[in-house]
Amino acid sequence: MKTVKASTFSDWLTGFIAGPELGEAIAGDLREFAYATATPRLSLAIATAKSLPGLLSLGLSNVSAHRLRIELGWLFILLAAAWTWEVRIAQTLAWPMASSLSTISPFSIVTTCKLAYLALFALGLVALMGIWRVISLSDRTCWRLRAQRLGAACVAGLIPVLYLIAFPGPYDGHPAFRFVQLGLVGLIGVTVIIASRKRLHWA
Amino acid sequence: MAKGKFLGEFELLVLGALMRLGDQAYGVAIIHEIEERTGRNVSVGALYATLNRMEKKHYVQSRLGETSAKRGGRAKRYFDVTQEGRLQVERSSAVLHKMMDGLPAWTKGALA
Repeated sequence: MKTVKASTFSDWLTGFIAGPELGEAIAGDLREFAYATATPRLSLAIATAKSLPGLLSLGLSNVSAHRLRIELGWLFILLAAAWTWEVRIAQTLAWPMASSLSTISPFSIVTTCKLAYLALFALGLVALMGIWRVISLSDRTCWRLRAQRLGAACVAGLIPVLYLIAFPGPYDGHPAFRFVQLGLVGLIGVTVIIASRKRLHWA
Repeated sequence: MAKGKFLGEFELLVLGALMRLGDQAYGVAIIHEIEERTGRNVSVGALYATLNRMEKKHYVQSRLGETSAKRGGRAKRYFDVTQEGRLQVERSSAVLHKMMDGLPAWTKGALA
């Protein structure tokens, strides 16, 4: 009889979504299903994957509608911040930076420009983590929700990058449109936060 | 009866399995019971999502059980049907039978 003894990603995932108490029971059941199969690790992975829709439903059922609205609000604000940074700072400043650094850079100006862009992008990511940290310190929620919020922040940071990959090239519309677009996204977030905050019971 | 008080089909199956298993109702046993009796595949995630929802409605209650090697040292969680849960099963079964009453014989076979 084979068992999976070591702590696995499956344990972490079930604990993360369902909480420590139910997570332990679920992880145990998944292991019991995998027990005595020829490939316990593979069986455990398959059983975990099959259980994911139910686990996600379980995780969401523990989040109140108010909490969900608050998190959605933060997501919109972070999206607006990430988009602003990417479009208005990283893209705009990369080339002037590369021009200034070209005399001391050992790389070609194009490579220097790419490196400057990556450095600015990383700076934006650090700033995003800083915003997340401030938000997390401002409430008294559990670490699981903070981690989920971090995931949402990373997704928010990635959206403008994916957008630019899908639609490369310089923006040729009126710059005011971009500000209106960003303003609207941010405004949705702020409105949702203000509307929900009064009635919020922290988890 | 309020609309939200009716049990869903899967909730009814889970409560039925809990009543059949008695004090031995934990995740794996419940899944085996439902699969053997209905032929329906049940995932661990779907089962616990339903059990968690019914525990919040006070239809079931849970307690921690023993650990074992084949569970990698993870404790079992046993579930019991509460009085409120039994009442809901009775109500839902009664409503279902009322709806089926008077229909052709083959439909009653499906309920048996």
